[in-house]
Amino acid sequence: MKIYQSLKPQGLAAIMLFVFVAMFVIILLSGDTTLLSPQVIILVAELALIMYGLVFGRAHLSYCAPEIHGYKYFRSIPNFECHFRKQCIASDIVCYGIGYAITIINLIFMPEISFTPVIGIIYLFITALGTLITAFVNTSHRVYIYTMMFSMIPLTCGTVIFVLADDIPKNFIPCSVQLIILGCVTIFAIISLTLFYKRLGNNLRTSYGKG
Amino acid sequence: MKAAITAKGLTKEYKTFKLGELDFEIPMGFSTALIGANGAGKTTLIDTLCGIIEKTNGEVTYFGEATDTTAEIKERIGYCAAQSFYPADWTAKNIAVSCEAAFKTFNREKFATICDEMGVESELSGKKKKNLMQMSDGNKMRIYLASVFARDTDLLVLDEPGSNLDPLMRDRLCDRFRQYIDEGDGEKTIIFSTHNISDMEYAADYVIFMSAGKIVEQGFVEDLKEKYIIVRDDIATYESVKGLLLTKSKNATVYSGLALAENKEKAESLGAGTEIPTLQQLSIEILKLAEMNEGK
Repeated sequence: MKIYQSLKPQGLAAIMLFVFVAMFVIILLSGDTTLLSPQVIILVAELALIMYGLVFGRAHLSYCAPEIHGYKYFRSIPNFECHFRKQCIASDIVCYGIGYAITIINLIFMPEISFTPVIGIIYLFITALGTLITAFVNTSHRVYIYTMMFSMIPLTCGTVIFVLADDIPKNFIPCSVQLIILGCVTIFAIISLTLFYKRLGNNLRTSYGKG
Repeated sequence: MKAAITAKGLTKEYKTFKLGELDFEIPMGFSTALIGANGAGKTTLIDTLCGIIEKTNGEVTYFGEATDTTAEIKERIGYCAAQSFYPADWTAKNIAVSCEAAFKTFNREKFATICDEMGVESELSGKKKKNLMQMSDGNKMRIYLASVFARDTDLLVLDEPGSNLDPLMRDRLCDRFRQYIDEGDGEKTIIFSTHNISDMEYAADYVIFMSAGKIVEQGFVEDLKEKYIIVRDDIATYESVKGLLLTKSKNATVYSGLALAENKEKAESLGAGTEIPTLQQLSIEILKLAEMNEGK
């Protein structure tokens, strides 16, 4: 917690980028080179930039939003901008992190990513939409919404690939198995990560700026 | 007399409402009540003074020193909103941890003690953990107030602190106000808005009456009680006295109204009875007068 407290928002965003890169390296080390096409690299870069931008955008949006419970308290504390921004960024990092982790898990099960740029655009759209929709709801609900949205994209893409594919590769995991895995991951993620997040979120929200 | 807050040309504009232009001084070392009808601008004024919302124009000076709600000024101001002040899923412990982090002078032990004194059960004193959503409106307000009183501040700005409290707790709150002012030795100030004027009368030294975003009257309670009188009598004397009345209300048998104290002898010579107004009466009549002047 103290590391978090001593960091400025830029530092937090840098950690986020580092996590993305680390995840990418883990994929590389896993030996699954099909995930290292230029399109995937572009997608990851796109995602990182989108998240970086949106985290800051939403952070500013949130502390300016009177609809949020506790808004007046946060505005009343010294250097509230910094505290509030940290709180929003922290919660967003968790939200995006959960979604991104689920997405990566799901992508691993995909046989071909022939239309990665399209996925990137869908992501951009969905993330922007999610940001707008969830800017004014409480953090727990935001986690539900994000988790559902991020999980639905690979699910849809996987189904589309399966339906459109002419030849099914030999190492292809059958669609039914893929759907079960996706479903399990989604349900597990929603339940367990929300519980985890609620705990973490409370700690983050009440401990910002300490030290 | 020193001023805790001085405002010059203060305005806050919304699409459908404008506060000000206001010029006023909040005397230091006293308790000031903001009184007005719903939508008069009390909360807007409080929020503007505390930096919760940005003012549109004007200048506000705090403690005769700073003209902006800097971090240092916010440390010295204990602000409390009327509702939804803290996130709804926070417990007393969350509030304590957050306030400890946010304010240098917050004292967790004092917070726990005040919670106990105010009858709020919290996990800080070994009771069952409850978040704000599970508390009644009265208990929420008690815990809000406890968190503010647990800090070492020079100015308390409280938005309707008595609104959800029972009469006994309102009385204790008045005592706490007096204690806060007395301990400050002329350096501590309270500003609060209220609709429960009769219950909070004991807590108010200075009053600011607001209507439609403007200040319509202000002054020390004792001075205002010397400035105005209530004229009340049988309807028989109404016609001869009505020219002296600033506000009037009557039925078939009796009438009453507000008049300037300088007309006391004249009213009495015309056979009307006069009395010193209570703050409650004064508030109603002054707000009535403001509405009449606004042409409502």
